[in-house]
Amino acid sequence: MQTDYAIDTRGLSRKFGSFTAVDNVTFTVNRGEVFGFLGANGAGKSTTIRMLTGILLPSGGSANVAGYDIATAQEDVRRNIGYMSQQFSLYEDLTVEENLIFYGGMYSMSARAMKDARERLYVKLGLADIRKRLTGSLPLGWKQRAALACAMQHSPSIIFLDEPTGGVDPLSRRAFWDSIYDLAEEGITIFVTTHYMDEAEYCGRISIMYQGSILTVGSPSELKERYHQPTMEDVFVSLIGGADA
Amino acid sequence: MLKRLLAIIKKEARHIFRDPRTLSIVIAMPIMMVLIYGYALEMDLTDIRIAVIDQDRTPDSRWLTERFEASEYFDVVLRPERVSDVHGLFIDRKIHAALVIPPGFARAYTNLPSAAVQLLVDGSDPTYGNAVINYTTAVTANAVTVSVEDVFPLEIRNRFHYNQSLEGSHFVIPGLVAVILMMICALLTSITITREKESGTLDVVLVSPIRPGEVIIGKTIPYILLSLVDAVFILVFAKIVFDIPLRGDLTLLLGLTILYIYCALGIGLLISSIAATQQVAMMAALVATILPSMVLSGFIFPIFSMPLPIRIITHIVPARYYMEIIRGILLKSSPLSMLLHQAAALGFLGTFYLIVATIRFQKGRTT
Amino acid sequence: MRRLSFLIRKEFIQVFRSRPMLGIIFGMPLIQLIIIGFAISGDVEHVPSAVIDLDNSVKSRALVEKLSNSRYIDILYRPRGSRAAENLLGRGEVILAVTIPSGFERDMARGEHPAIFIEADAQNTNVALTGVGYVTRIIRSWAVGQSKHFSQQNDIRIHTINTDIATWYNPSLKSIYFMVPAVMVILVTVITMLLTALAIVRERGENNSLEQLMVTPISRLELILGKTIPFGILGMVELTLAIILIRVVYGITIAGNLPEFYLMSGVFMISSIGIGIFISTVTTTQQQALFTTWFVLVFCLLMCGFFLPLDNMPRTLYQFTYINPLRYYMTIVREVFIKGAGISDLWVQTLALLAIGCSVLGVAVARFRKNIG
Repeated sequence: MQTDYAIDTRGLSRKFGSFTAVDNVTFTVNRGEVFGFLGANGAGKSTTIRMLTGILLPSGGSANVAGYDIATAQEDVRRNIGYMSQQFSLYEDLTVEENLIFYGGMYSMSARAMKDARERLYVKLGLADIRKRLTGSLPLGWKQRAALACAMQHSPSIIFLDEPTGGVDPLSRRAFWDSIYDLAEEGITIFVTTHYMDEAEYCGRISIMYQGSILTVGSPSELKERYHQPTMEDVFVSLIGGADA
Repeated sequence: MLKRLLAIIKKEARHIFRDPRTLSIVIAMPIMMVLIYGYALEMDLTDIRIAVIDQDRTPDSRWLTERFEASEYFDVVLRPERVSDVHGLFIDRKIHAALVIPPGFARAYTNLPSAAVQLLVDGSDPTYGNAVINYTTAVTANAVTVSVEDVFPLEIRNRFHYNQSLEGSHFVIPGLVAVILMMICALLTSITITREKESGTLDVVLVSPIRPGEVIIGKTIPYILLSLVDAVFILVFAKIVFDIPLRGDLTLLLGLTILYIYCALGIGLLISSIAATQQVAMMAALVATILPSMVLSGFIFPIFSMPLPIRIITHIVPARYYMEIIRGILLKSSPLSMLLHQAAALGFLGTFYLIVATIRFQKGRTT
Repeated sequence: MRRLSFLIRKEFIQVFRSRPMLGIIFGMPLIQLIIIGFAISGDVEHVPSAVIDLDNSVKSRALVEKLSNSRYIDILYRPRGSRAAENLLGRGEVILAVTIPSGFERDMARGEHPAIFIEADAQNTNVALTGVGYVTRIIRSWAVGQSKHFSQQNDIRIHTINTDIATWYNPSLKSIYFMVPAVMVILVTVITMLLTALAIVRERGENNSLEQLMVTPISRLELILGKTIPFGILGMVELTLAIILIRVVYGITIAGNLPEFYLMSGVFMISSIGIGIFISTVTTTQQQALFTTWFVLVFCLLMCGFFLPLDNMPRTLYQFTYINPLRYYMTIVREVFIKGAGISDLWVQTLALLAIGCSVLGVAVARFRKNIG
């Protein structure tokens, strides 16, 4: 399936037994866009991401990520994306540097390329002072930065961020989103899920998911207009609250 | 305070029952061990495979060979020609020993006071090796035409106490109770507290009005009960299947068992006060409890046969004392007066371990 | 290939970073090897005994003298009263009590066959029988000495057959040569099986780094190899340390071919690691992994010829031993250590291990792939 989009899903579905977690999901994400993937808990967001990152096979429909079909070219998909998961899956008993080296190795980066990338990231994300510290000993905000570094080290064209700012203090959250914008400026596509509605405002476009289906897609301003709400939070509540009632 | 304690006990109990895998192993493991040990304990070695090399080939040598063939202890499977074959037979593990009847045997037997035969023994398995030697000397001794017993000026009478029928299982299964109790208690206790340490929920609990002592008691009571149930279960099971004796004062046994569990708890707590992660706790618990309680407690290997430094070490192994207690009560009907030494040792050890654990806990909290 | 090296590096960093783990992986087992080796000698010696001489004659004292000279029994008490035996046995102070009746010397001279009583604490039947055996042998050989004297007086000829005993490979029949290599086997198995299982479960459990790993380009195969190779290496290191330690502490050297031994050990590790992986696929927490591994380990140990000789197992149980990798490896270790056997002698065992190992590993890997999606 030919596509110019960074992410292009068509009728993507996933069932677990009789339970349909993801139901006929269709949306696109443009290159270099910051795309917010919103939804209530249990809406099917994680399942969708796992399909898009090639961890889970779809039960129906298709999707292209970074130009590769997730059903047939999983290894290619994975080579071109970065992923930062909810729990900042760093190895707690390894240092920041060791984590970076490890993940660099997973993406088959050469020693030289890794060193260069590392040095750049230390500066960019302010990790230079803590590079020799065990990640398990770091406060949450710094863990988050280290995890982001691991996700972008190999210069992927798309980065998936799954609840990247959970539990982090507001200052660190701002700094984090500054880094995200930097990445977007370099042309990297950012696919982020979040619970924080103020962060939703930062995104280029947003989709809202509920019980396996996409309720709506659009830019924050479009959505606010469409649903006659002043803030994204209100949009969210009105849609989800309404659907629940 | 009782309410808080009960809350913790209930929570811990739920943990236990929601983990069917661990629970089933805690129950299944003792059953498996009892079964295997019980059945496999027919330790009379019979039909040991040997070879006979008859270099004499006389009626007398054939007579001697027949004595061995007729014996229930031996199974004469091969009659090689040459002694040089024996090494190969040993390597292939076809035989455990070879009897060599030298040329001139018949002549020596008739004319001289004694005739000699040679026994080549595969020493790689001392159990078989010793057995072969004992049995062979028995056969050759009984083979002489004049019964030596008749001319012996005395006779020997044996009496076996506490285990007339010489059942191996009567000895081993009570010992298993000791091993398993130690394992369940210490292992589970050490893991359970470390797990909470790791996941941070221990902090949450400590922040609540509950006192650390209550936490510990509450967490461990379910395991005490579980262990006791397990112990009773094993004994009943063994009684049904192997008919082990249950002489003696069972309430005394119950009381002293609780004392033993107290010890095991002390060890478990000590480990969890030291270990930062579950992995470390597990390995430490394994290493500190299971092997010592199986090897250094007098379970199978008698302590008096061990070299002095090891014997000294056994004094801090709680299982050693409990082994004497449970065997004493079940097999010898010993009263408390005979077991005071062991009971005191258990009490002392348990308290010692507990104190050290508490000290370490306090230190941990203030840093 | 390169990616694999990073996986292995990470695993090693994790193992060696934790000082307690290091102590436990290397320190503890090796300490145990030493202690257990000495404890499990299995030779019954210094049996605590009591001798009650109710006769107190020249002959009875001579017999008592003979008994006290043996290293197999230790005469701890020489009480006077005839109830003393019951007492001492009941308190567990002695295992054997030998009573020489009064009138012993006189009855012997008159040809009236006085009876010596040997009472034994038969709880540990092995010890009891062995102890009684020792005492019987001592009394008998003393009696034969008396008897010859006796028979010469009465001119009766006795023909006896003497057995010269030559014990090969382990002349002193010391159980230590038998047991210590077995302990080594246990240690190696624990390392490979348990640590593999724990490592995989831990990766899946705590922070689910397994999922993070799956997003990277590495293949399932590399993931599995990355978890198994490090523990295979650790197992080999442990094996080597154990061999050195056994040499230094017990003076036991491998009589057989070292490279072949390592090869056969490697084949065994396929099984133990395979079982470890399999266990990780059927458990979800580290605690479960621990208990399950422990259960499997104990079962294999009981059915492998270490604590209990195999030839005596009832038929149904015996069938299990055919698929027990520990059984074959135990045989290999003993034969190599004590008899100097090589691969050509042990090809049956090695082949069996290979078959079992590949099947177990195959099943384990298949389950593993399914588990991770």
